[in-house]
Amino acid sequence: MTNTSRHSLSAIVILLATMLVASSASAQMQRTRSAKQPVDELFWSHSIIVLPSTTQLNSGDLDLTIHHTFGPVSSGISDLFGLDLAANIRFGLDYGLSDRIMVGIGRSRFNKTVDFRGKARFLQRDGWQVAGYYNAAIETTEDGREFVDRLSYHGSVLIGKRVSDELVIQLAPGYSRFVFAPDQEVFGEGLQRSRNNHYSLGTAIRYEMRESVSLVGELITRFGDVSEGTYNVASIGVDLETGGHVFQMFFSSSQWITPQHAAAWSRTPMSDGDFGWGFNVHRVFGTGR
Amino acid sequence: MMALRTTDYAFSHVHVAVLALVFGWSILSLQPAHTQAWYSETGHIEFLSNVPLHDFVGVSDVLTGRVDLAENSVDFYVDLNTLDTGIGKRDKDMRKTLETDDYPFAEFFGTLLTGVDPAAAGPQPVQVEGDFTIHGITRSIQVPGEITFSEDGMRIQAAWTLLLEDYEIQPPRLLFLKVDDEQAITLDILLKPDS
Repeated sequence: MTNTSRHSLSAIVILLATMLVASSASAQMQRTRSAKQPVDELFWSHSIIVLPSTTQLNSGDLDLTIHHTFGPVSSGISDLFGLDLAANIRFGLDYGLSDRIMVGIGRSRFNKTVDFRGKARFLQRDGWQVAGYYNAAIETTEDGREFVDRLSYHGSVLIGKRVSDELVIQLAPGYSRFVFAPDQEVFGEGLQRSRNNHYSLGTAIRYEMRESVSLVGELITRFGDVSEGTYNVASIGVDLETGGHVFQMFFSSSQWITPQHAAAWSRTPMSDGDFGWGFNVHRVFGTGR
Repeated sequence: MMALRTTDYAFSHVHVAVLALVFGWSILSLQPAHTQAWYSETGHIEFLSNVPLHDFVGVSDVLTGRVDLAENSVDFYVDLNTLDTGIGKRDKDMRKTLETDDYPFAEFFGTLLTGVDPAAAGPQPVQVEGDFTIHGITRSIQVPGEITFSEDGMRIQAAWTLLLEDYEIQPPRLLFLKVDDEQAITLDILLKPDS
């Protein structure tokens, strides 16, 4: 091939390539993902079992929750393994004020406790989530107590981390306070001293076994001077996610549902393996539009 | 002598390449007298799901579209992660159903079957034909719509129905209620001249 013909061939090839680039530039657009992507929520609902999670409701979402804990399984067949014993049940409503702030109200059967709670997420980055949680409760039993003596509070910082696609962990250092904490007369044990304040560290884990099934576990460990005859709380359960609902079935060493009561009033030692069965149901409704 | 020939040959290649590039880009830079290409990334699209007693709509306002009348091309896509059904939990369910991590976009690329007149007033009925892709499955479809030209730009409104099973999408269940296999899609987008 002569140089002239080589040059001609080169010109044709380059010209065709240029025209190809020119034509493709005005063909199909490059697909790019939107800058606004959904938050990777670490847990499937805003509570784990007793502990709150870093997960938030979306703005305008209303979540109806039913939390039910039965008596200890050790009660045997005569009490249908705890189902016949006094159950604690909490009906609650939570609402997403924004994608980062939610508030809620609920009422529990034990001590006829009404609680108000709020949660705000401060950080969402690289698989980390940090939120602040607060709960204020009032016990409404007719026992002659002054209003202020019925109050209790709990505040905690929730630090969640996605470790892998399946594994999520959370730490929740917290502080619980009961304004009035009378010593308790316990049958066979005598008078046991109560404390107004309890410091605790909540640890939780979620492991996604299948697309709609997760194992969850949590531990509330108290530190320092704690009320006599009370114990740390362990719970383990399964989260089931269906369209519109999250069902949580669990075993817990505490029947208390609000975090401050669980931290201060749980009288079943988990070392005995004496757990009670319970379940949570979350149903989310949209009010945004 | 040999060195001189090599240099001469290399120079000729560069010379030809520059000429070709100049010629090619001159073709690129040829612009018609009137705007021929229109573009927007703030279009509105809705996916209507039917569930007994419980219809819901997934909405996105980041529909991206480009229409080139000179090339007779129509190109739309939307990031399915932006669909908002009004309930966060349901958004998540929808993303799971559509497997948006693997198939992030719903997209259409095709041509106008009917001509349009940018100078005409009022809506002009049009028909487009092309490939619609969602959930990794591509099917050829025809969609009726309307194009309206105004000072604001080119407005396109269109609606069609897709069958989930055509795109191998498993209809989600809301407890015991199954989402209908038919999904009504509507879009509304105002395209601006694409410079």
